Amino acid sequence: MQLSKIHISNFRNLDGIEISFHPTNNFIVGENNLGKSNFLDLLNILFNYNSFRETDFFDVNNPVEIKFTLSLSKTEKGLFDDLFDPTNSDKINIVASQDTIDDNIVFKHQETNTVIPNNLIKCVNYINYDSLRTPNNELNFDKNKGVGKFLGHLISKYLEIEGIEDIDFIDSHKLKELLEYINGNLKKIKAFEDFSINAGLDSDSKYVLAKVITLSDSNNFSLQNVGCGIQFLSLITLTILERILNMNKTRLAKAIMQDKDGNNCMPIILGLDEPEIHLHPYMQRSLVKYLIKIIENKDKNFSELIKDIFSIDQLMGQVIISTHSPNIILNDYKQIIRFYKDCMGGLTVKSGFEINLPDRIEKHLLAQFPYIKEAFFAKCAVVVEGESELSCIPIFGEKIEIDFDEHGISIIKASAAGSIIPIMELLKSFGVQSVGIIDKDEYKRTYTDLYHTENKNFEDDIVNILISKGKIQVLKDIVCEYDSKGLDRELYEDALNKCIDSYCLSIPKVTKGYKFSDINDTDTDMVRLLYLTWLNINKNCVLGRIIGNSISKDDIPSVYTDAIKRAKELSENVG
Amino acid sequence: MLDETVRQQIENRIKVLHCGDEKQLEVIFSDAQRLLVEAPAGYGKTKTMISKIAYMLACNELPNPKKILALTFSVNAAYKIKKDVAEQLPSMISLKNFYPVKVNEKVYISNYHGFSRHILKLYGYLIHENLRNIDILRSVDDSDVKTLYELNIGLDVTEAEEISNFNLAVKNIDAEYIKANWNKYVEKIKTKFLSNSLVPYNAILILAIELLSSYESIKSFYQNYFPVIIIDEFQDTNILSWKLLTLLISDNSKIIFMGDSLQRIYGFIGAIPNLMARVEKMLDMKRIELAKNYRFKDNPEMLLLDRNIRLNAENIMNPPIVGNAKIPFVIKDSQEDEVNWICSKIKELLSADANIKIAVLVKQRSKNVDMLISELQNQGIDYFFGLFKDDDPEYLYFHRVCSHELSEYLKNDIGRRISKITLSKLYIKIKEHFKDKKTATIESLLVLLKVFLDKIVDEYSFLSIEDKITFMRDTFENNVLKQHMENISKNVILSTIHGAKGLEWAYVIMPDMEQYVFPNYYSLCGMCSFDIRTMQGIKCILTNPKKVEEKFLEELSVFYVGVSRARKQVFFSSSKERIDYQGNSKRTYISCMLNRPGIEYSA
Repeated sequence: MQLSKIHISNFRNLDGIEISFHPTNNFIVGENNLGKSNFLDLLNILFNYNSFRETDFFDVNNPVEIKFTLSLSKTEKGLFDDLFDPTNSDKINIVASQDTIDDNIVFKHQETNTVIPNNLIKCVNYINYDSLRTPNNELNFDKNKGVGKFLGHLISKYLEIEGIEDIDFIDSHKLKELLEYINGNLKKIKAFEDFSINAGLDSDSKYVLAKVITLSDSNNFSLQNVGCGIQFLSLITLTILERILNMNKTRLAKAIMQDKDGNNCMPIILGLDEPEIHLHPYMQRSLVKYLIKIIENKDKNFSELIKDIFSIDQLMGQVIISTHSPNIILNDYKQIIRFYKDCMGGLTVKSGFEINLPDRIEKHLLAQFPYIKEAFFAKCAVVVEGESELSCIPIFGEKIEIDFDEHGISIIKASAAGSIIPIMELLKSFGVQSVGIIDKDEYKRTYTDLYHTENKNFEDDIVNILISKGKIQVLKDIVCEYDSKGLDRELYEDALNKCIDSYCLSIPKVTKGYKFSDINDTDTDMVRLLYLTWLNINKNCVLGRIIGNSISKDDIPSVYTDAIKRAKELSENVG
Repeated sequence: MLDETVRQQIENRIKVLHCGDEKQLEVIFSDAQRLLVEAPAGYGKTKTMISKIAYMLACNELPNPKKILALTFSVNAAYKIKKDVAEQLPSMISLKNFYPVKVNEKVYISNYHGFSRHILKLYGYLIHENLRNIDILRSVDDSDVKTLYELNIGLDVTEAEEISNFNLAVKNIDAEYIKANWNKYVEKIKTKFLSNSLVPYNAILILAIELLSSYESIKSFYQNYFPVIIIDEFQDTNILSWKLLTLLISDNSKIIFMGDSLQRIYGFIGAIPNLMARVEKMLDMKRIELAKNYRFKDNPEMLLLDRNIRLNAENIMNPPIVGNAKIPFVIKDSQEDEVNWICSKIKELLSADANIKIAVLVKQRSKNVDMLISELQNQGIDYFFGLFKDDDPEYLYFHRVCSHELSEYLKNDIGRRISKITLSKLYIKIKEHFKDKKTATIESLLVLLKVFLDKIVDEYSFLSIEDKITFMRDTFENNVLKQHMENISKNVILSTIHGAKGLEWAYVIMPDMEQYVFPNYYSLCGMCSFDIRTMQGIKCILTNPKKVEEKFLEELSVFYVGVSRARKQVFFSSSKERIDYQGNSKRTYISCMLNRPGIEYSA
């Protein structure tokens, strides 16, 4: 079962919000305090509780009303009897409403107004996981709460299969000796002797095993003392198991459905609030991939476990994660749901699943996706083509006293000029403002907030402005800082002639190679040729940083200062 | 969620319950995808069906959350099964370690109209917005042109005729006419009827068919939702219910059709002839015939009579009779003597057991019956008048009034409570309506209505509100209050055989087993001639029934239905005279029905 759409009225700050979901996995991104956690709370109340509390009402004088659409697989159809969307029977539209704080939530089939019992809604099996849980309390065999319950269940299950009890693990002979020793001593106390008080075996010997079994890692560190990250990783999966364990028999009979091959299948929707908190970037992605594998029944071990312990063959579900980490996001913009404030300061939500791009552009964007994820967290992005600009432009920003981080401006590399506009469009559809800078010869059409270089490209702009201002020394310094051979670096004939061609320089072809030191500063044509050739050969992010640092505030070509100022302006208009 | 040991336990329990009845067990344990069960009255059909359902659930044949759909033709049969399933199924599957979802939720039981009403109430709005309120739409009789015209809903005479012709085509099984006029009919129902909050009885099935055939997603949902479909009273299926069925059945559906071709007596309102034999071939069904008559297991003569009538139906020229059934039969010289004999028989039976129930079942109303009525009154025998004719205007009007008052009640009551108090208010309202028209029919119908409403809150208190409403609606709209005659407190019931279908009494008296009465002129005698019959003394004997096969079989079915209404014994009588429609006494012979091979009596 999947949540495919939701429309929220009068719930906390989410009034009027509508969200579409990716069937497998969703990342809810956005700044702090926009309501991402509120949203996961909403799902938790909707699917696990019976009513909204006073604080959940945006306006207590009006009802909270949540319209949502669930997608049901063939196996799941019929869970809500014969209620479905008659235009697409794979879906059911449900309206949940609660009139006042004293009422309970009432679920109704949207098309027919038929009441749907709450116990059926609970079969969605929404599992809420937030990083505020304290694993220490739960990762125990003897604590009969949280996932500890599951660990305890494993012990009971074993005892049941083997037909033995906790007490069978105790050597009764040795215990007897111990008791004799204790009682021998206790007798010496008058009151004990007078009232025949004896030490004996506690009749409640249950949990004996739970008390002696502990979880520890390979270094024999008790799990209670290992890092939070490992604890959380263990906890998240155990939470799923605990959930199944907590279902009573009638609920299990309803929520477990059989597919055409007779497999027992259970719906599940996992909601995770900032699971990244304790995990490093790779672990974050690996966690998400693991959870998706679990949901899609591709993790052999986990599948075996639920089969053995609960006779469940398959899960049918979806993952919804709220996150602040670009690292956790997998490489599909369709899985992104972005919360942001629009220019009026109102909360807006954009769902990647609703964005449909032409195949060709989509393919290209997916390839670039790892480099642009960060922009989904920004107020405004500056989209450039290459690595030099990527590292140089934020430094330009600092020089004109516009700190990118402070303003929530992100710089994105498009890798190809042709990707700049598609990326800007993609960002726009998620409500992210952007400014683009494109090479002049690639500037084929005007587009809002798209700037082009004054000369052929970034390198050309830098070389030209420095030459025209007579600051050839700055260029020399750049070469010296970057190139181990400094001004003795020789540029070969071929490379130079290629540069003449590609920049259409109106000078004759050279017949030999040149070193920087061979050229007189007054021969600006040759100066230009050599530096352009060198910059083009070496362009990368290290060089970009050096350029950024070397150029003084006043020498920054105006296109860059204009673009940066515009980005600042856009970011300020947001929220 | 069910392991092998649980299945085994249930299998054993079923074997014990069915006392080794091989045919019943074959039905229950059969894994055939399409099963046709020939099940005569008293052969343990319902019990077999319930065990079959229990066994399918126990074998995990029904994946959660799918359901079994069980449909019948008549509303009363549907609710009887519903009650039996509700009472018996849970205990059949209650086993340790087996926690089925409430078993009754696994089976959706209804009659065709009830089911159609249900889906129209949910999705009928796609056809017409007013179908959302199908519970309070007023039903109309669409067979009569004059009635339709006088509805004043903008139907001109031609249109009224078209509606009425469509109704007729359903009765006459005129598939071509129905197909050719389908869209026109649906359109008229929408624009003229639904928009005026009216809906003809047939239109309910037609609109359901329209919904399922126009919306692929709805159809496929239901096909997937009901992987198992059980049809009872299959022999009564008419062209509309058959169409509805074909829309619900997919290649993957498991289907079980149960019925008794010999109980098909509704040919005149459209039950498709020979349907059981036809679908057996068409759908390549496995056929199992239940073989053991439990009703008459302690009454060898009745047992033999039941078997021999059935053999006559299977092989009308040379039934392989093994032994003759000796039947209790008297013949009197005059009709007067006959009615006297009937009265004394009734008194005799009652004096042996004052609580016994006796039904006097006649072929139709006639002067003969009038004489019986006056004699019953003369002798002070308290009886229930149940001689309703299906097309008796008074009988129909009473049902219209019930239907209307129910709609009015539902309109005004938001909470839709169905309680003892609300139903007795409904009863008083209807009674008020007829306070100046107390005919025998109305008096009887008021008694039936009371019996029926009491049943709803008593015997059927387990039903959901939706089901209770549907049960009432369908009973009123299908004009079948008479189906509750067996619950009448009076000891003696006077009814037609058609009206008694599906009902049972300890004793049945079938009087007037005479030529031109049973069969009557229209049913058989009118087309009989000397070359196919012979008169032997006072007996009329059909020598060549093959020549009038269809008519003969229909008549034999009516005869069989009459006979099989008795739980203990049936008595037959006739006289040497009959009173014709003009009141003249005519000489007559003993009915050919009693003179079939395998039936023996002393006259």
